[in-house]
Amino acid sequence: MKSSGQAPRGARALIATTLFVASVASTACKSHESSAPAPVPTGPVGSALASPTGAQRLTRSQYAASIRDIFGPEVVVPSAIEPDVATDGFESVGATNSTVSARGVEQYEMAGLAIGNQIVNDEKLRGRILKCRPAAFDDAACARDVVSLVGAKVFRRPLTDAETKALTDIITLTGRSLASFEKGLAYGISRMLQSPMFLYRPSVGEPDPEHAGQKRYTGFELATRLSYFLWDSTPDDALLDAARTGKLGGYEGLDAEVTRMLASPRARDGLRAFVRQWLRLGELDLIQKDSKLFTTYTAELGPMAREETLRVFEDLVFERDADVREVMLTRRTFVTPKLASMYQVMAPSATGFAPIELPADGKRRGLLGQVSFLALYAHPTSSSATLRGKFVREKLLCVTIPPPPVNLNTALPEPTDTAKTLRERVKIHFTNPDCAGCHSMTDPIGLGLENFDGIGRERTKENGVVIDPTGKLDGVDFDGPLTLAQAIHDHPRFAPCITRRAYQFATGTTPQPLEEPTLTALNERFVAAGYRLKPLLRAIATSPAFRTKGAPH
Amino acid sequence: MRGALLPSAILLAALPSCSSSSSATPDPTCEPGPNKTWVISALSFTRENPVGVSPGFDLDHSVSRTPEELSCGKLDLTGPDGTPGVDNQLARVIPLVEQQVGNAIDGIIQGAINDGRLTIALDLLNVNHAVDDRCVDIEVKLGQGKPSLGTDGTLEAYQTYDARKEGQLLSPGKGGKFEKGVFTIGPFPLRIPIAIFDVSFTIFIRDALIRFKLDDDGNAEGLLGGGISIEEVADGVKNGAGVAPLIPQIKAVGTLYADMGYDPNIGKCSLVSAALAFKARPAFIRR
Repeated sequence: MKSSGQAPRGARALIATTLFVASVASTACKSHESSAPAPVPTGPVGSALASPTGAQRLTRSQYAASIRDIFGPEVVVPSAIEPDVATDGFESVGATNSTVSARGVEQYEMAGLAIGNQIVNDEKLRGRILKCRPAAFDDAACARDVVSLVGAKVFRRPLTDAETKALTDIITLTGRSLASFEKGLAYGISRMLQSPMFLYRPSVGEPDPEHAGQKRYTGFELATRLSYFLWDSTPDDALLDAARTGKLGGYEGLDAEVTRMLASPRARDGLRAFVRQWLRLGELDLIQKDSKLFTTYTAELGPMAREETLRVFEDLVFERDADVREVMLTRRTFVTPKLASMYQVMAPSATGFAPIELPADGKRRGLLGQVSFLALYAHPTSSSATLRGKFVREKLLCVTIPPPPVNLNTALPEPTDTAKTLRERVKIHFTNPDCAGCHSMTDPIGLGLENFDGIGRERTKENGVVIDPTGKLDGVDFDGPLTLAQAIHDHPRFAPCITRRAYQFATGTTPQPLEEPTLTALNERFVAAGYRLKPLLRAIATSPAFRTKGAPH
Repeated sequence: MRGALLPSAILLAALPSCSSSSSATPDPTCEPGPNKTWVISALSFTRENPVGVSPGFDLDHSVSRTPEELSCGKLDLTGPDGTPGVDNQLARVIPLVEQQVGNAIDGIIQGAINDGRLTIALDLLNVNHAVDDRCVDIEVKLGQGKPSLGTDGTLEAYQTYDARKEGQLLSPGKGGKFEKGVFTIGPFPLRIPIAIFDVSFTIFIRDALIRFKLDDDGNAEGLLGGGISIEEVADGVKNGAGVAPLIPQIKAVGTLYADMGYDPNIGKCSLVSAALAFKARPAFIRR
């Protein structure tokens, strides 16, 4: 009998399986106390092939954040500006291919002038940009100083001589006409804020010395691209300095800047923008619920629920630097007294948000137990197995669900004595061949969440009948929201989908086939980093694809 | 109404006790359990409608079909479900009071509940099973905090209230039970401080009984009853603006309808039997 000193193959497999299960269990049971994060591999990830891009228009949140960071948090930014358009689920993608309407142009003009007037009429705000004392209404030297200082921040690059002269002329000519240097300055600021150089993120590019025949973003273009990706706002002085000195041209310098940016408090704004767009949380401002059926749903609940979800992500990514997939399973969340009452737990504070651990024996856990998701992906009068299932498929697993055929009546039958629950009413989706193809992918998932009504309150019965939340997700059985969340957490498409969505948000494009190898490599980096989001964002920001100005291939 | 106020000690002794050492086999439902709290979201006086019919309790465990001395000649009412022996003379008093002060009493109470001036918490102790549980005690407390109202104009469920510092624990009651989803407890002395507008006083409900049922959402609906001294209520409200001229009439009505607390020395009753209907939402009280 041969003895190799090794266990037989079957036993080795068993041991390996046991170790794997033990490691998974250990991960699942990990407390919130931070453990040593997995060492992060470094170096550029993926190839220099990227989708073609155009100039991205600032989103509304980017516009507001840019004004705040250039002029100060005291400036009230008018809310009536051109709305964002989402493409493929992201405003950042829509910003690449949307135009400005005639009405939008007027709104940008009015907003620019309103902001300009606020700044010149407020001594504190004015003092931040006006460092000289104007000797006359048309003091050109003083106007030029302001233009040089402010223009570089607004355009996110040094101004050309022609731009400086044009803006200086506006200030001096208007100042002379209105007999006030400050009034002229207001028009000058307004002019800058209406410029395409501010409202758009130009991407002309320059020859890439490392990839012949390709273009890469210029230092200032890359700084802008990084800033709106990681901060959802305009570059700071340090980032513009890095661009000016060429630091962003090589991996080491770029990585150092990205690391600095991710360590900044402003990175939370970038994460919030990503999550808000990815999960469509902006729509929580607009949802309507039947006030007779859902007496506890009030207008402030939607924004409040969005804030809860954003805080959970912030906590995972910045406070705990944890496996971001934990968002599906975590009992830790942040609630106001109102949200606490929705979750049937004691409010941890009398006002505002405070952290809590949801009950261990409850059905509510993670993203799928949050009011933001449950209320948003539901109808005004009821829950929706289809909308919730579609969310899971499209947003979390990156499976595209086609829209229903035109002229198809998508209304569900009303509850009857023989069909009181949603599960009974959606049976038609599985028997009608026009519906079954897609609904068999969505509805079983959504039915697993029927223990939550159309605004996210927990329930055990629907119309007096005990709810059956069991189902199967791609071959994995679940018996309710908790095991469904676990199935999604463990799903082989979940982590790659997070990678894809983050890349989509970062680049402002829908990934093309040529970018698939880069996405695969980025996901490998994500996995190697313990599914932590910051290393993934860092890998995307320093990837050759992110630095490459794509061209039609 | 035959009996005067029964000594609480005798009644309590007759009720099942969680701490009874005489029990041969300990009741598993008497194991320590979690507390569950309900906050009263609606409280209203019951009325006699139609004549002779009103919700309420049989406080004296007796049916008075003919005038009797111990109930000062007051006849019992019948419950809406036909239950005889209901003691609820206040149901007959309220319409008379409303003739004097208008039909705003229930509205005033509801307003006080909705804006957080009258937050009565029923804190049930050791609730292991809110359907059948024979060992549940109660603490009636006052909460504080501006409640959140739903679009139906009533308190939302599962809100968190702070216990009011002064007189936090109003009345402890022992020996309550859940039976087929209906909770009952009493008699026990119940004191509820009231502060509405410029009037502040404590209603003392003698031999209080509480009974409520839970629905699928955990909301409670039931009755709260016992004996009330109209004399005390009149004294409590006498300093309210415009109330003073009404005090003699209120006291007279109280004397006229008193059916409990018979004093053989003077041959009079001092208390009016009462029942208030209430709804309550599940809630939390910070202790």
